[in-house]
Amino acid sequence: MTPVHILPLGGARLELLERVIPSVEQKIHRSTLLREIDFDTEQFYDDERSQYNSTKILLHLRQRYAGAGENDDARAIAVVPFDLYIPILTYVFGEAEVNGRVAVVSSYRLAPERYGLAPDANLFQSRFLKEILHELGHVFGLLHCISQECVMHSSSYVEEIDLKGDGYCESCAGIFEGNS
Amino acid sequence: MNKSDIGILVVDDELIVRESLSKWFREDGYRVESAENAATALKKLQAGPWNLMLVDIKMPGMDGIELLQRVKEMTKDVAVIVITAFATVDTAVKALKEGAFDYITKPIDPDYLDHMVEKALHQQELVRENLKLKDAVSELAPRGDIIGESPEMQRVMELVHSVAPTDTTIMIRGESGTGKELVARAIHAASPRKFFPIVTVNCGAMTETLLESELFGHERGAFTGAQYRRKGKVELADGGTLFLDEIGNIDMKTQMDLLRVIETKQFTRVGGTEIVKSDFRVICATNKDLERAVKEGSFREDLYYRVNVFIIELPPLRGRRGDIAKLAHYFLEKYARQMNKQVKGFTPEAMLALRQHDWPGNVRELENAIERAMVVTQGDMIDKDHLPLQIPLALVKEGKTLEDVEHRHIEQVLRENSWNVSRSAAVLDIDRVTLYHKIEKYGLKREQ
Repeated sequence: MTPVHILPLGGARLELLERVIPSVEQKIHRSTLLREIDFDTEQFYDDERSQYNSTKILLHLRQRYAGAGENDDARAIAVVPFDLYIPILTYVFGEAEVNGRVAVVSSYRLAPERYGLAPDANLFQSRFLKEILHELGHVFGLLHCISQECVMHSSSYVEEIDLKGDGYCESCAGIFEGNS
Repeated sequence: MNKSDIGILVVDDELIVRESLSKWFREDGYRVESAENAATALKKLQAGPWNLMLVDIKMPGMDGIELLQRVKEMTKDVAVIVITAFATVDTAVKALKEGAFDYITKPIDPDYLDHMVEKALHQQELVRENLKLKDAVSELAPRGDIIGESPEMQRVMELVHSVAPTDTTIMIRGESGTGKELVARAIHAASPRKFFPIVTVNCGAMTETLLESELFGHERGAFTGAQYRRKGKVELADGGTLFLDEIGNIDMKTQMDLLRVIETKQFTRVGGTEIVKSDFRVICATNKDLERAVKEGSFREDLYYRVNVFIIELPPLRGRRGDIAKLAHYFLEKYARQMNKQVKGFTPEAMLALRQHDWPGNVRELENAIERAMVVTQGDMIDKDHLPLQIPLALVKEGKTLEDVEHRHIEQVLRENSWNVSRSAAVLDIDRVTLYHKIEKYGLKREQ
């Protein structure tokens, strides 16, 4: 089974990634490969919005992962420390190709101090793990889940991430039991 | 409802907006499509069904507001959220006035978008449920107690069903007690105006000034005792049906006012100057010979032609004797329920009497007769003695000679033909002089 590539971009914190990777592997029943690649994220920066266009990042990543020397069935998730947006929305925590190859997750809005609260490393890490699992779920073909406990439950603000669990519900977990 | 059953149509000329919004909703499990302009959106709308549309205001060609207007003309089943780059009060007000659920500005806060979409879909579901319930209620609601399987009444019901969906003015004619108001209510109940009121005005029961005030309402101080402004029946019937019972009894001045309001759907209240508009359908009823009234000058010819557009003639009960038994059982059951009495039916003698009675007061008289019989009966059957019929029942049992039969038959034919001797003679196939002799011989007299 091809490992899922995890790509720290734009100065993403490696030690944080290393802490969540074991849980990610356990939940998706796959190994991961932490890869540092040469990828210029600055080209996706929007001066007017002071944010990075996640849709364009995905587009470039997909081109990279669609036959350009990578394994045909390789899936990848990029992790970035900056704020992401898609043009119609003010921000997104992440974006993914549903049943596709690539996803991107931002840790920018996950830190409690972003909302004027005291730093909380455990909370931050928990949110980060949930968002990685959520976007990977989309890559593997999952849609938003109605179960409040499931990590695939939709979250459009940070407190909603805290409300849901850090694993897939029984129904959603089934998607990772195949061989792809 | 399953999310995959909910259709969302995104309409925006910008590809990136269409793609990103479609993706956002697809991840939620909705069925999503997009359209790059209003024309494509309208085509997709027709192919439907859709629950929600997100429409950009600024688009080349037909803009979002015009599209919104078209959508609302086509269906009430779709909630529309308008997307605008720059929120101005004018655009927002315009969109909401045209029936948009709400508007959002680009870029959209994801939390706000989710929340608004959920609210719009919830409201749309309530609208749909409401429409379904209204349909269910209208199915369950009594259509009016019109009972009758005779060919005459079947014809009446056919006319009712064919004319009900239109806005045509209807004249219901028939003797007193034949059920003119029931037919008017049945027409209203089967019409698109059924969710608005049917307002009845008994024109024959009021004086000239009272009728005018009743019809058009009055302003405060219009006359002594008018302490408050009061809406008239014409105004109350807005959206629904105005039933003018006994229209043949209206005085000439009110006839003129009535003609004007029927034609213009506008009027002023008594003592007022403000023009009030009301959208109503007119159903009239009369038991009078309006043609004669027009000839005699007591009924305006122009009003006659205005209200005599579609005529429904209700047959007298004696003209549809086949319905008497069914009607009698219907009233028996009705009053048995009301009075909590265990009355099962009629004795053969009672039913024979009911069938042979001429019912000059028609169905109303029959209902009253059954009600009174139900009061006096102590057993589980209504007997002929319980029936308060005006014609002596002795006639039914007695008089078996040929002369007795001729006597009764001539009397019945004369009554059926309103004592028109020529017509009755033709029915009897005898000449008028012979009929006059028979009338004299049997001492027949017209009932007053």
